Amino acid sequence: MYKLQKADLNNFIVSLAGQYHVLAPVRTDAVRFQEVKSADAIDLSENSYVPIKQFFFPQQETLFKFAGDEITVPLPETEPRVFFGVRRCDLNAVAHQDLVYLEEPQNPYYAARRKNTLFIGLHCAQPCNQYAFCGSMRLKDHHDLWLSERSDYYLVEAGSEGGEKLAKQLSAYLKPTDEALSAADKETPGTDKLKTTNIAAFYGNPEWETGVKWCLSCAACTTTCPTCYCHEIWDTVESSDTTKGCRIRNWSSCQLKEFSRVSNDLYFREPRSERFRFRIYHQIEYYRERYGVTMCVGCGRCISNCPTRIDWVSIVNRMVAQ
Amino acid sequence: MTNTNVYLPEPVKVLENLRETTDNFRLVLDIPFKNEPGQFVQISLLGIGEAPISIASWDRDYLMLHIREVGTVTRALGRCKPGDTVFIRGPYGKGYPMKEAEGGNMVIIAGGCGVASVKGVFDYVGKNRDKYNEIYAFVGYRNSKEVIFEDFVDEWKESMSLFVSLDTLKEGTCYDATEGFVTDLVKITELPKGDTVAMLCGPPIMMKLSGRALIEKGMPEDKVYVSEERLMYCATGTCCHCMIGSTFTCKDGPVFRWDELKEHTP
Repeated sequence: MYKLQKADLNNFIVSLAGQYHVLAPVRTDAVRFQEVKSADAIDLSENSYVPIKQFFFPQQETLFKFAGDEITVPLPETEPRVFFGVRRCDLNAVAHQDLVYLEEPQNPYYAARRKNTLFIGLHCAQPCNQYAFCGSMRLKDHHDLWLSERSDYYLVEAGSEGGEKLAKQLSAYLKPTDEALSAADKETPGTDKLKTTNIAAFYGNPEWETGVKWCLSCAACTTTCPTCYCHEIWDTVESSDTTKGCRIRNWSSCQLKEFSRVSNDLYFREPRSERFRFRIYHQIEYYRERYGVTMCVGCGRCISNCPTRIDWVSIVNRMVAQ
Repeated sequence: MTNTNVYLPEPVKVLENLRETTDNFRLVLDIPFKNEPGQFVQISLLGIGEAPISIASWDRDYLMLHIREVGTVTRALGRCKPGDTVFIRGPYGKGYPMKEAEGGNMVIIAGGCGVASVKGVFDYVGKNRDKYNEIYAFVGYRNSKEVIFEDFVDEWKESMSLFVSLDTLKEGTCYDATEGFVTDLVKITELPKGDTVAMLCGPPIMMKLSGRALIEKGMPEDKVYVSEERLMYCATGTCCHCMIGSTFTCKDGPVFRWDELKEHTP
């Protein structure tokens, strides 16, 4: 265990930024992760509006370029990066995307962006927003370093070899201590809101239909979700020379009707209620069947960013109460 | 094909583009191909896009695809000429249970374009006929103009009992076929006795009705296999478009056991 004095935070970040690209939450139009050189711009008051998945799995990416029949692959090169101030939900979300994209056959673009990355996590002593339900999602440790705030310092835990190495590199600011973390340093009070993650029996429940009647199919839920990984692939060509172009991978959303369209305009999940139910089942049941954990990490962004505030946690809780 | 980047296709030359019906064509590609019957490839034209297509051949020194023109990619592929380059990645997915069916009978039911998916099975049994007892193949088309793989019919008849149905059979045609839906033909035919594995591919309603017909005739649900179609992009179980419940059509399918699909949950 280590101690990082709050008074040393700026020097800590400056020193870190001398060796790595440091990305931390900064308030611009909203709180979002961006590169910092000092602690001045860092805003730890709330969770980032946009999750960090875009750094490993950008919204749009070129899979390859072509000119005639010649193909070239622009695999991304990433220099060592440290993400500072990542909440427990978002750390778990990265781990869940790793399960998808680093299993064989690996996504080489994701793997290239993901390597050389360290995470300094930050404990949420208070719920980050009124919709967070991370306490119900059995989150695990996925940090390299973990910061838990005390009065005038942070108690710092190393959670990996990379974290220990980082602590050594920054030993000028991270001082060993006998003080230990307690269970409370990994839990956020008031966030155990989802009454069950076993929703298999609710498949035919009419609440899926009544609960989603205000859905606008805008896909804000999946766009701001830290774990959603659905995508589509299409080609574009240069308008001046149509033999040149690229194949693009782009985020898509199971909340859009076109998501399940096949030939002859046949839709396998046409009604909004079926699309809504699919999203929740994929987040909770389907992913767990394959990977052993729920995909959802309980950050609550899908609810707080929904323009009509469709709160699926309350909807599932109503089913439990029936 | 071995390629560390799963998204990268390989260039392949077109040997033949044979128009089979007004909107169906057959592409023969210059590449010896190893695949299981029932698997699929991703075929693309650079600048147009990619589409998943069933492999209509097995253990040949070429790759045969049967394609129906329904969208941008398939229409553009329909215009390909011999010598043109197309791009291929795959094969992907789980094919038909050829091993499991060994020593017993096989009932194959296919409708329209779905015949392309079981064509690999036909190729396979042509070369492995001694491994199976009775083989009944039911193929259905809308009418005589929609019949595909007509040039293979003699070859198929050598290795199996072939039943052909046409939804509408015009008077005066001397077609050796029954008028009506293939499902009805299955219902009125006495199926082979003993251990039997069924393999189905066709429009969703056809598979649903023929699967039910087989089960009503006493076939166990875990002996009926269906080949599903869904929108897909990655073909490796990550883009999620092809999910049926928790299963991925591209990876866990496209051939599924009837009871695995859990009432075909959307």
